[in-house]
Amino acid sequence: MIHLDNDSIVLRLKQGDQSCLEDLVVAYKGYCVNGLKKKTRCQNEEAEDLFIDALLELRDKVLSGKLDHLINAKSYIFGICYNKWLSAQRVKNKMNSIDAENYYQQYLKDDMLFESDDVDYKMQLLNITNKALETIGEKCYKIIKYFYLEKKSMEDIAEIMGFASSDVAKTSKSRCFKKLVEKTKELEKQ
Amino acid sequence: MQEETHRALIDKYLTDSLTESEKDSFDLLLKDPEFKEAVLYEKRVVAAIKASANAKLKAHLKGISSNTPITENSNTNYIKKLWLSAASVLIIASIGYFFYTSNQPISNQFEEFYELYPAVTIQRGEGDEVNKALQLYSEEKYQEAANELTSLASADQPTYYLYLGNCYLQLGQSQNAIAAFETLIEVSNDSILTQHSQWYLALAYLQSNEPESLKALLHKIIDQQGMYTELASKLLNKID
Repeated sequence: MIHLDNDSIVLRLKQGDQSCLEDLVVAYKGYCVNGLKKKTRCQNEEAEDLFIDALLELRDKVLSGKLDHLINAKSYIFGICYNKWLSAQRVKNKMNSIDAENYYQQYLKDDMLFESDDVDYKMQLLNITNKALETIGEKCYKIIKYFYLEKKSMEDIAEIMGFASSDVAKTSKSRCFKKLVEKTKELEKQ
Repeated sequence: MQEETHRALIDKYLTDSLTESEKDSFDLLLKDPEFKEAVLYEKRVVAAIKASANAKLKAHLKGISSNTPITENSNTNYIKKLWLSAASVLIIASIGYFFYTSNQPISNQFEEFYELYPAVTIQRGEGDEVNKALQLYSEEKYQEAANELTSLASADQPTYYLYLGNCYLQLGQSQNAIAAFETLIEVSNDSILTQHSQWYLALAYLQSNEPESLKALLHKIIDQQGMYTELASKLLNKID
């Protein structure tokens, strides 16, 4: 039985430690999936899907700074699972169909800047960005991931990537992101 | 220089780390259509990166999950059998109980609906004070835990109000519990924590025999369609 203490969960997620999510799967899958099945009478597959989405939401909350302290991780994760199930019921949207497109819509849905934008165009941009990401190289992809997704500081990025200083990391990040945006625009024109 | 400042602001916007004053400057800059277009584009690109990364990670975690068996509670079958054998007795008893409870104060329902917010027994990495408070809570030493939790609970650490309120419920100090849960609702901006606190506030009203406040709150919980909706409906049916 894996024991996960609450503060180390937050710390590991903040550090972008993916193995923490794997440990959470092993430690809390039984509790959350059984609990959901009992409480909502949903099927195994749906419960498992909700559980994994709940873990991803937990990670997002930690990375965005909305959650920096956990007292009871197990109950908290189950709470997210159950809320996700309720939301799915409300919008009659089966959560087991969630994929990159759904996540993309979720990330953009509350953004005021996107109110009047064309949904089809945004979805097209998702595919284009994926293609562009494949062209910028592993190093650039890592820098972008560390900065925009994992929200690491330039000091941390410099250390991980072996740059001489945070200024070098900053310049590399700017260059890589510019390269990605330009490549995306280029693919869009094709 | 200006370009660098703009770049820094856009990056902070894309990583949700703008301060209030930076947000004001950023909103002003958004009035420039060219700047806005650049931000819009980059926002979509970052959202796309996040979405793709999430989808990949989910696929990976599903792989881990498929190799993780779901452990059933070993007591489940025993409990089921126990319930079945007890069912006939319960049916008969419940008929008589209905006539009995219809004349009782609503606080009599408290024990049926109240379930202690789960204690955390091991808190490695927490501060000494936290450790002590939660240890006392898990040892059911509620008065001592409440003394510790009173100094820990704050707007920055709202979860402790949930534990504090539960200590007061255990001690039968309904008014103190009500104050703790009301404070939690006021300071919390976490929807899950708010739902927990609303439900426990309802239980505090139940314990202190305040039917009007209780009914109003139960209706609110039901309307929100949250995690306590079903329990709230059940309780409302019992006391109506």
